[in-house]
Amino acid sequence: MRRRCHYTAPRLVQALDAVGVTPGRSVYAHFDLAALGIPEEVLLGVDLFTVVHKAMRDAIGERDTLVTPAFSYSFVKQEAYDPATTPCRVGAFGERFRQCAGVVRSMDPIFSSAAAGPRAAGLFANLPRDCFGDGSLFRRLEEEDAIILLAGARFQHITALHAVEQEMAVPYRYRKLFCGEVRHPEGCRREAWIYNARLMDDRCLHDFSRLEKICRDRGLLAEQQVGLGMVAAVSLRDLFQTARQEFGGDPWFLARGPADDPIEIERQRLPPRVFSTMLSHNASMREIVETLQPLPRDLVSDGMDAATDCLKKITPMTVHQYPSGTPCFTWTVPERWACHRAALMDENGKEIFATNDHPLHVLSYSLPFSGVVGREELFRHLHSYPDRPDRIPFIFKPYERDWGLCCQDAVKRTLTNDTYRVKIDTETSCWTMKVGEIFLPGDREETFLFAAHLCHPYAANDDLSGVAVLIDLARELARRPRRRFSYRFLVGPETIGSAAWLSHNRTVWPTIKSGLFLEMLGSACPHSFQLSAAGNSVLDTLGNMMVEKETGAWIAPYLMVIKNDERMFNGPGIGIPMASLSRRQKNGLPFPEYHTDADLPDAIHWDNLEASRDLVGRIVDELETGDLPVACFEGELFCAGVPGFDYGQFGYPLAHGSPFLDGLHTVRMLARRGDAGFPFDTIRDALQYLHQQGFIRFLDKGRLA
Amino acid sequence: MNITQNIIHIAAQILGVPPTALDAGTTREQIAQWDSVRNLNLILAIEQQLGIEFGDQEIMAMASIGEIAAAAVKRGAAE
Repeated sequence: MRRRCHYTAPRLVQALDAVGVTPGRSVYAHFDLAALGIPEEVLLGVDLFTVVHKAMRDAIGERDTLVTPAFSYSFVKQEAYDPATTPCRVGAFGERFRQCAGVVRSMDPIFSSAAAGPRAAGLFANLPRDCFGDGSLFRRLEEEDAIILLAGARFQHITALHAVEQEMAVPYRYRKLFCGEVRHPEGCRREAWIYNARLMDDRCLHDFSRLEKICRDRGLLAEQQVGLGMVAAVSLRDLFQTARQEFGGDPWFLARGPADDPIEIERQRLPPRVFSTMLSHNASMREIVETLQPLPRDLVSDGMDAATDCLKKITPMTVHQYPSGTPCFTWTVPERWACHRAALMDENGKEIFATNDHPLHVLSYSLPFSGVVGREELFRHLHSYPDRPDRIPFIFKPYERDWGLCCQDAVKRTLTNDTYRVKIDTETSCWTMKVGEIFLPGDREETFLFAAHLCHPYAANDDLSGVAVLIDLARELARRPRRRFSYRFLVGPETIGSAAWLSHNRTVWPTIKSGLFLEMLGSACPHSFQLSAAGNSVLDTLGNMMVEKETGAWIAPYLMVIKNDERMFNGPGIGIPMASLSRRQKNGLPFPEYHTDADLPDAIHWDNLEASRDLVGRIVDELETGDLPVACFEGELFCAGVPGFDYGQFGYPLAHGSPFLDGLHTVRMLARRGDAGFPFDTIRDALQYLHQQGFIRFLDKGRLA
Repeated sequence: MNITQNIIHIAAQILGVPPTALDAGTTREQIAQWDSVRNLNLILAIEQQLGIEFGDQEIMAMASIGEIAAAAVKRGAAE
């Protein structure tokens, strides 16, 4: 019996020609080979891929570029991506095509494509690590007005439309970071890619049917029946333009809907954990630390929200919310993370440790995982501190996709079996990252900024000690009826919190004259003061002045003490000088309990915390009450022109101080200038004389105190 | 050998998987190698070996070993 065929290769070529797949334009082709049925050539023994591939080449010619999906979803599946060997997971054509001679494959570890033709290499060169963002393959194809071809595939399969969704910032998707290894010709490289992922709710599934109808009604979609299915084509430029127009009226135009607030959708899927934590309005620093310490304050988490909310209620705090996926300079706001339970068991299911015993037994931002693993594999994901064998480490990897557990090294050493069971029940969701800001305006716009991070779960000294000092200072300053300078206080997640606030508040940068980062202020050791990158800002000078009097204090250049949020403020393009005040040991760990389950309120030296609070208070007092001279001359002062000016006594100190006669530096600070500083009386007398002669004026007071 | 076992035998050869990896409930989504090209080859091989011809709608609808077996019986293959 001779089987009946559904179409022939010449008919396919004819249909491709009729829908506009002709020489001169690149083609991005989606295939569903089964949908067209059986071509005659297959019944004659020719392979189906060969039939369709040849038809494509006959239609577009050798001088044009054919691109097809070769998506591997590698990073989403936590796998490495090797363009040469990783299989295409979206159909037979892509999988066969990517292996043909002369075909290149893009380095996108999630949505790779395969291409052959003169523009293939150019289309794939130096792709941004953002699957659908600016400069992505689909935007490049739009620029050259490529054709989208659907050979048996449905309109719903047009992946390129996710680029328009990202451009239009649709509410049901968010930029999600994926990490993994990519094999390049020169070797493996760890990379981070952004994929504009959808929320895990059926309302957020893509539905292109409305756009399909519009394209058909407007004659933009050319269609031909071939065999059992259809061959259709649309200009990518027309497609994107039409989609953009329709988005203007409905941001859910390409989704199933109905529309809803994305955070509300995620709230329904993963209801927030509720905490009963409360702070009284006049809570002491100790009460702040003791109350907030038990909260699971992971970077973006219900615990962080609860802690921020507590602080908001006792201060004039504004809470800024940055949705997951928000770009902040080169950073991306992470998702909310929650751990329901994590445990390590032996082969028989007997529990060795679990988060019920201590919540730090799970890696912060661990991926969910369930399975039996060999000891070697387990140890790659099991974190401990060999130098502190009885402590559970606090380890966090919010920007890497990995699963992990944490335990005492003493426990790890007892794990001698060949296999273990791991069960990690964690979830992530699109949420908003909170950054609390207290802004206290003063008579002058010039602002000083204090920052502390809040995101170390179950920890006291690192990081609540800094938060407590910051909040106490802010409350005290807020009570003052009038302030000379303006102040900003930031409390949020480490680094990304600063990145988010800075990137969304560019207009206030010029007003911020310098900043001070606060942390680890409850340690046993004396103060450590780290200068800003510039090293000569107002708070550099003031911090230096206050700390140097302390026995055993450690004053060090930028990044020689700690490495934290100050890097964002001091960073290129921002240049806000931020110094850091902490109490860390000069050698070894910052403090013995650092990043462990032992960083508890019990280990805080409360008298030291109070002393740190007093120190920052003295810094602010000097700013608020010190005399602020301003030069009424330009350039270097011609001292011989000042009648009676004692050049021998005052000339040298004045030369060092005069660049800082700017209304920000107090007389005491000017006395700090020069290699070893100058006697305060000398500077004061010099400035007093110059004031009498009209070369100096004093802000606020007009005379020396 | 009943029809399901027969189809499993043919499918194992076409898809390049051991017969033990397949049963009546196995669907296309479960077998990575079961792509559209191999699906077409599988249909043609079954038609040829069993002496039947599936209808167009059946070809489009069959998504599991069990569905193929049921369609084959409907088209006259011996159970």
